Amino acid sequence: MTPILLLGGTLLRHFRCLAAVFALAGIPWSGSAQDSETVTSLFNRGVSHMESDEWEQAHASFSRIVEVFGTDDPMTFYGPQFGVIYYHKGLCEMRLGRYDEAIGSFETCHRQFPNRVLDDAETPSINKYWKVSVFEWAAALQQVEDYESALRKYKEFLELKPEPGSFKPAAYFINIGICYIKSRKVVEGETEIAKAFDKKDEYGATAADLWRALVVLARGWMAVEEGEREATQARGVKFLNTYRHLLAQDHFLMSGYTSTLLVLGQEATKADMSSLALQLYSYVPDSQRAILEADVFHTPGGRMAPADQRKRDGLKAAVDSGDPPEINAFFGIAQAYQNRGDNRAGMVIYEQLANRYLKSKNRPEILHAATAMAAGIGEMLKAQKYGLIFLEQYPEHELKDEVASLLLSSLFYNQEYEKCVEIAGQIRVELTLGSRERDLPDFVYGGSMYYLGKYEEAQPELDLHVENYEASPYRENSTYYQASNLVKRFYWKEAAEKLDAWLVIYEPKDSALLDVAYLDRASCHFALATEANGGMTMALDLIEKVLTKFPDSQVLDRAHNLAGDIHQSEQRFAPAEESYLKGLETAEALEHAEIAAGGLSQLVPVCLAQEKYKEAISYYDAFFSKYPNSFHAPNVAVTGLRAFREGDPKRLAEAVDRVIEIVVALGEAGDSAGLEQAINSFIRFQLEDNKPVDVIDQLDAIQRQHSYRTLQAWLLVAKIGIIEEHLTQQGPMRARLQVYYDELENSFKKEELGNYILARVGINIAEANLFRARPWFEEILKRENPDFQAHAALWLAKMDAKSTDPATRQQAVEKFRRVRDDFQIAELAEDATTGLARLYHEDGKWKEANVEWERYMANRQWTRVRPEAAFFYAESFEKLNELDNAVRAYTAVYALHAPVLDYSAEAVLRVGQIQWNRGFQEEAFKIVNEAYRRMKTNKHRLVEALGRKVEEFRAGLKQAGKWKASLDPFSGS
Amino acid sequence: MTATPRPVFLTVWLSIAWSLLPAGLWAKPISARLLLEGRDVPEPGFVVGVESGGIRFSANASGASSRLYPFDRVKQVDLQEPDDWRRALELMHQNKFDEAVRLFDGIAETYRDVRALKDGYGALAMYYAMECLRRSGNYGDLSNRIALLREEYLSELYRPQIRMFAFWSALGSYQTGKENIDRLARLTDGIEDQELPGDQMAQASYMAGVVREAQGQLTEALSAYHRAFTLNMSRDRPLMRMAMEAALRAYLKDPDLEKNRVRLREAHGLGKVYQALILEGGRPPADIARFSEPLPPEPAATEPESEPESEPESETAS
Repeated sequence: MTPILLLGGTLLRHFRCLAAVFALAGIPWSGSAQDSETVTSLFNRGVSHMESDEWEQAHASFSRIVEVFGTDDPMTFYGPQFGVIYYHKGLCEMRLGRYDEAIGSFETCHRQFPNRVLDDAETPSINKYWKVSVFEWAAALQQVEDYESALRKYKEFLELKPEPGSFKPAAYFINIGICYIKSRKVVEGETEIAKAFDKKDEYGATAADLWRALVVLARGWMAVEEGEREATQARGVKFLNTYRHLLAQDHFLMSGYTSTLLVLGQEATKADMSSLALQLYSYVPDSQRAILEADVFHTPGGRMAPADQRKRDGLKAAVDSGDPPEINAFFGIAQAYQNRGDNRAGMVIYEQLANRYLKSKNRPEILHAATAMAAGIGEMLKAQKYGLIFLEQYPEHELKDEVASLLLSSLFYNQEYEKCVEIAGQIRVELTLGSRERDLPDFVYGGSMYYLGKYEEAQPELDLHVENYEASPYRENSTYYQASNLVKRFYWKEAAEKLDAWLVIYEPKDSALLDVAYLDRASCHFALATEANGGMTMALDLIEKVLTKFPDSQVLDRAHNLAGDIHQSEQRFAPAEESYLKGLETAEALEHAEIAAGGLSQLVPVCLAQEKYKEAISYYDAFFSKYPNSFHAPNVAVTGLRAFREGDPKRLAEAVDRVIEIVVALGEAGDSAGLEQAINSFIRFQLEDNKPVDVIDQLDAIQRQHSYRTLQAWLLVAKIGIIEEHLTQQGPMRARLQVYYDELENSFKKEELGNYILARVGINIAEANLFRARPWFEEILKRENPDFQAHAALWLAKMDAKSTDPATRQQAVEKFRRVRDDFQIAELAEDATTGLARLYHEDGKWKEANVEWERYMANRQWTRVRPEAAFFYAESFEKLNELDNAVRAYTAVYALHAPVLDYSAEAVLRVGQIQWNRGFQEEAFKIVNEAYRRMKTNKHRLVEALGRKVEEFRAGLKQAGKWKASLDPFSGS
Repeated sequence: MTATPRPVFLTVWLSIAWSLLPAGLWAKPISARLLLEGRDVPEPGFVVGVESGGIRFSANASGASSRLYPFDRVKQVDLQEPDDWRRALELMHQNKFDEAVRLFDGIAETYRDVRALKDGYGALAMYYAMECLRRSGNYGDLSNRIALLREEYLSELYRPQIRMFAFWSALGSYQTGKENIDRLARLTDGIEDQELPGDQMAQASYMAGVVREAQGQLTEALSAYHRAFTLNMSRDRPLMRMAMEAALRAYLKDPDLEKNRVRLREAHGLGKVYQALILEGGRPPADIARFSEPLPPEPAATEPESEPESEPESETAS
């Protein structure tokens, strides 16, 4: 590295006049080896070469003088002025980088040719450079990095009291400052350099001088030991603030130092001096402004100097290319602020670069940084904006995966779930399942499905994430979504298990999802509640936790409403009313309209239950005033009918009209679920005051007026229901019933029909032909609407159970389990348990069969197949070789279900045989004989078999010599 | 910028409509050199005034015996640099605004009659005086001068800043309660998307920050203040100070600051830079001093920073 130094500066312009000095002095410059070579001619030639920047030739001329004329005591012969030759020779050596030689030349000039007092008779001979040669000597020492010696020489120079104008003071102070800095005495160096800045004009410092000094000084600041770094940085900041007005005003001039400033800024950042880096970058000019200033300030007489013109053209080209140098300063500034922790500064900078420097070759990196910075400070809309631009403009760039990940985070945070699904879906295709890179896309994909309410599609995705990313940073959310998604799908039992497992881990960690997890778990408790398990109480306890521990929760309204549901289902209507009112108030404050509508809608039936009709009407009116288009509107409209009938009969007609209006509107909108609810409730209400036939007429009237397909289907179902419940005794009505069924089956596409209708038609078909009904039930299970899914699943399970294919039979098992464990519909749970037990039994899975049969037997409410269940329960014990249990269970079959000979007679046969085989032969004979005597009046194949078994045992006993007449008390009868 | 003698070129100036020229009596003639068409050497003398027909020029300091040189005969005019010009610029760059304004005002008065010469000392002195008023926060005086300085007096280099004076005037009116935020809001609306030079973008961003803060949009205000002290490379120290202090005070208004670790880190990062660059290590004002302290340690249990924390409202368990 070539050390930086400033020449005395005022010297070159003296060359010519010095030549004249030699000439005028009349010194005999001739007498050389060659006639043409005189001191004068060689000197003039040397100076001429210097003026032409021809330093080698200039040096040759001065060296020739020394060689030819300087060997024979030149001090005596030429006097002190011969020192001038050495001085010029030294200047050439400096320019040629031959500093050691320069040191010798300046030393010779100063030591061997001192000026002295002249006699009057002497020819004047003055070494004009005797003093200043010390300055140059010091400068040469500085160049060979002998800073200590250089400093001594600079001080020696000043002690010689040089004449003003013979040197440039700015150069002196800057050079001495540089020597200090290079000697690691940065404070002293800074002090000397500051003198040049303070008296810039007086000391003749040019902007270039100051800039060069600043560069060395800045490097000096950065090179200090760690212990001095903070104080030095503070001094550096102050220095740059103090002298900003001298350096950072002319952007065009400053633009010459941009590259240096950028390097210095980077070095300061590396040296952990972010503040100093920011100060240095603040000196980087704006290129566009520099161009304008060049045109205004640097075009004297309308013409720009060639060097300035080149510089301006260079700047213009850089600006036009889209990459002016200040872009790099912006990168540096962003980095310096980031190092301090202020990422917002980084974001606004990259945002500006992204918006303003559209052609930059660094645009991908700029967009990436803008995305990352914005995501880092939670400005997700901005992260999204720049991430999307990146992916659109650079779909193949190496940073695309990283940007896509950032984008996904921001999209997910911004609840842009549709976009999340689209982008995550694209990204993850190329990534390996389970890899770190695919973690986020898989999480976002499943999470987005969850938030979009696509629970069926979300479940496998969430399961996949939980299964494949154990160490994922998103696991807390992922496992929660997995459980919560099961809640949304009404898989209460599985959801409850997963939520419990989640709470074990994340409750102690005070998870941010704790409030929603509590609420989901409370919903599970509510759904699975029985008197025995105390689910209602546990649900209320969890709700209380949400309400007391999370006063700012976004689900407080839902918590209040759930409490209302629980109280209502337990017939505690006053507390239910109180909870719904709080739910309403909270939801309105949170601007959760649908939840507010839900709470308000429940206030109507709760008041009705308390016979508070006026209040019910008041809530009814409030509901239709605030939420007329709510999902709950049909329910409120129908529920409200009773309130009007009891509390304000004059408005009943108005309320009925509203129901019909809603029914028609739901039909128009194709809202099958809403129609089902509305029509069923409406019919129930109407049947209380009207004859079934009149209600059918009323429905016919609506059907004639409105042709909406969904409405038509529902009206048909409604009429079917009325006939099946009230009019099956009337022959014409029975005929109409089949017509209605046929119409539903043949005139409507399944997609047009609601779950209830599908189930109704499906069951009607299944009762005639089980397998023909499959498509009707499958259609129900495709839907997110949970209504009648349990029925559909049960019927499909029954169909699957008929299969011989093990996989299909396993599906039957799963469906039966889901019906029983998740839907919690008592009437279906019995069928589901029976189906499950039969399947296991048929497959010889005796342990499982035994468990299920035992479950059936334990529920005294279940009576539909009790004899069968009792028998197979006993048989399962027998198959498991638990013979005592088997005997006990078979005996119970006989004792409790004797008239059901298929099972009771068989049970006796089994007990008899078991006991016979175990060696209790007399007892075996007694059991079968006694039973046979009781049953023998029945003509039944098993009774006959029992008779044969009596004789078989009798013969056996006789053969074994164990027969006694007392064994058969009935023999005489 | 450095105080170089500035030639004023008639070719630029000729585009000015003569109606913009000041009327009334001429002030003291200005020493100048006039380069006429077809000549190589400029003619020394004194500009007496600029009229619709050309430049009135005299060989005498008194302005006597002046001649009117039509514009098409004048190739170039070099006005003599005013005595106080360099000093005034230096004072401005040293943030000694009151004194600088006084000197610029004197120059503007002296060069009043040649104000219409584009980029001449008359117009420049008016411009710099207004810039000093802007930087010193004297928006009232700045407002009073806006109408006097025509954009046409100065070249494109200065025009973005001239337009920016209107913004500062609106800020002053808002801050002194003379008007509500509406005018400033209109001026700064969509400013981020405009093509402004860095210096002006920084200033406009500061005012956008004031607007956003007044409108209760704290995050947007913070970003705007950050733009104000970064997008001009922090060249404008008075602006940098205002913007940084405004940002730090805006952080204090965030009710969730203590819970928002990312934002807290951001505020402390800025507080450190503010103390180092603006205060040069000195003590910050008491209300924002906390941000220059080290970031408090993170509480043991924290919430995730980038995950959604609540469910959408569409589902109800009811």
